[in-house]
Amino acid sequence: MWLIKNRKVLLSFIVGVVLPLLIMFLLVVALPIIRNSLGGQRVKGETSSSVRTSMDPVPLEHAKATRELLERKNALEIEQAFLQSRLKLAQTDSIFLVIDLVDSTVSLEIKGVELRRCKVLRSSLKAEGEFMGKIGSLSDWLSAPFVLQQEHATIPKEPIRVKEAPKNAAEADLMPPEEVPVEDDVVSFWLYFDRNLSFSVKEIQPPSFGDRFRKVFNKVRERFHFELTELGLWLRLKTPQSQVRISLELSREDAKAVYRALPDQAGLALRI
Amino acid sequence: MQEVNSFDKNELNTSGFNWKFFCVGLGIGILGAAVILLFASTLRHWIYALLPESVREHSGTIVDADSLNRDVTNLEQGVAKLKSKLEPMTPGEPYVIVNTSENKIYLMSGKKTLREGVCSTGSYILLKDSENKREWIFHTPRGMYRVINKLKKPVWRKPDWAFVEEGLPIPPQNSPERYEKGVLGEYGLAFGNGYLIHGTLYKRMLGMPVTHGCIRVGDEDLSSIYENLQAGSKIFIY
Repeated sequence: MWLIKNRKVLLSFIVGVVLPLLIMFLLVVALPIIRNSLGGQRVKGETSSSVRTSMDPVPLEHAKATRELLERKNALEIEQAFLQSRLKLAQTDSIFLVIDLVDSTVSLEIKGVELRRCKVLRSSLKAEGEFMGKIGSLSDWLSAPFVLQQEHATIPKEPIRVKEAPKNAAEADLMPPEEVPVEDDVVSFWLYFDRNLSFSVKEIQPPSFGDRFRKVFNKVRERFHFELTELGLWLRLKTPQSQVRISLELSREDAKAVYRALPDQAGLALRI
Repeated sequence: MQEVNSFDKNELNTSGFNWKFFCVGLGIGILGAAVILLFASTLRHWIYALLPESVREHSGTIVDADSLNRDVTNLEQGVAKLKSKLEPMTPGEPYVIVNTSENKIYLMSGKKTLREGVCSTGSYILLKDSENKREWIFHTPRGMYRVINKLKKPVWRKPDWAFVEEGLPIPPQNSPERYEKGVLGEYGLAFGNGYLIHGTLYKRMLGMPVTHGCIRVGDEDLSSIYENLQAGSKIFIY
């Protein structure tokens, strides 16, 4: 009541609240959307021979069938891009990663031979507007293999243990027998590929309170870090680096095997 | 009522804008801005989904059903062709897959698993011989290999590290001390650079990463692998 009576105080308060909200909204929400919308219009009708610009109306009875055909075409374009990518990677001598979010599987392949297939237990995909609603450019984006640029993990890539050689046989006899270390760290790793694609892969977490809390805390920290990085890039008029972020949860054994099998600059074929 | 009046007199009536309340609002606004930052990508997704299709997609375009049908047929043919190129890449003849992460071995034929067993692979021990400034890392190499040679009752020719590890003097290259019978099991399948799939005396260690890089398997698995794999057969290790 007091605030309502004192309009100037109320106005000062409202301006104080609204100003940072508005600035932040413009910077991190409105400007990226405007930029992506303009970008989307630039590639209008660039790929398809069956989509043409016209003002003629579409007959209503064909609309459903046409929509189904369009969906089928989009799915086929993506499948073709995915297979092209796998075929290119199969020509190399390295182990590569195949992620199929349609089938919810992650596979390790070499020379076209599937070495391991893992079930994705949970997944999420965050893509900025750049890739949304533009199947033509999406299939282009998927048609060449992605190349791993950077990675980090909670477990070592190679669990190396250093052993000093004994000076003589007597010293060797006194050395304790080697124990096989138990690896009980939570397995999480992050893969950063070229063409603005990044993955976070985690072992599925046991649902204890502490683990849930840690998971939420890590997620909030990760999000702040990501949004601040993006904000910095927007302010410098640069395109954000990670425009498609995929999170996967695998079983502990699968997550460990996949991370350790990936060579430097590993290739990736992706289907989304 | 009197307090309000005094406040009015002291702060409100002196200027048009109240900086004290502006700062309080600013503090709340900054907290709100942090929340917007935290949920920025979600907000962008929601707003993006609410935008009219003309903004999100190709505006002013219609679809020609006939050419769309042609496109779909062409794409189906293209996909089938690509699949037909990928499928023959899986060997039809028996081959082996080794999982070094879990120490498991699979005897395969096409996409069918003929046999599955435990094995032991490289320990990842880095042995340092500080005196002679030499070091060895005991890991199983990953990738695709081929069986180079099949051996019955293989004899182990001990490399230098086997002596260094036991604190023994390294004998000359052709010394009889280097040869040891009976430690590699009944069969051995060499796949290059001195690496073998072979048997073991230490069966209780199967399933653990304890070897110097070779792949140790149990007797029954070994004889099955030996019978099924020929020189040139593929070994995939990951």
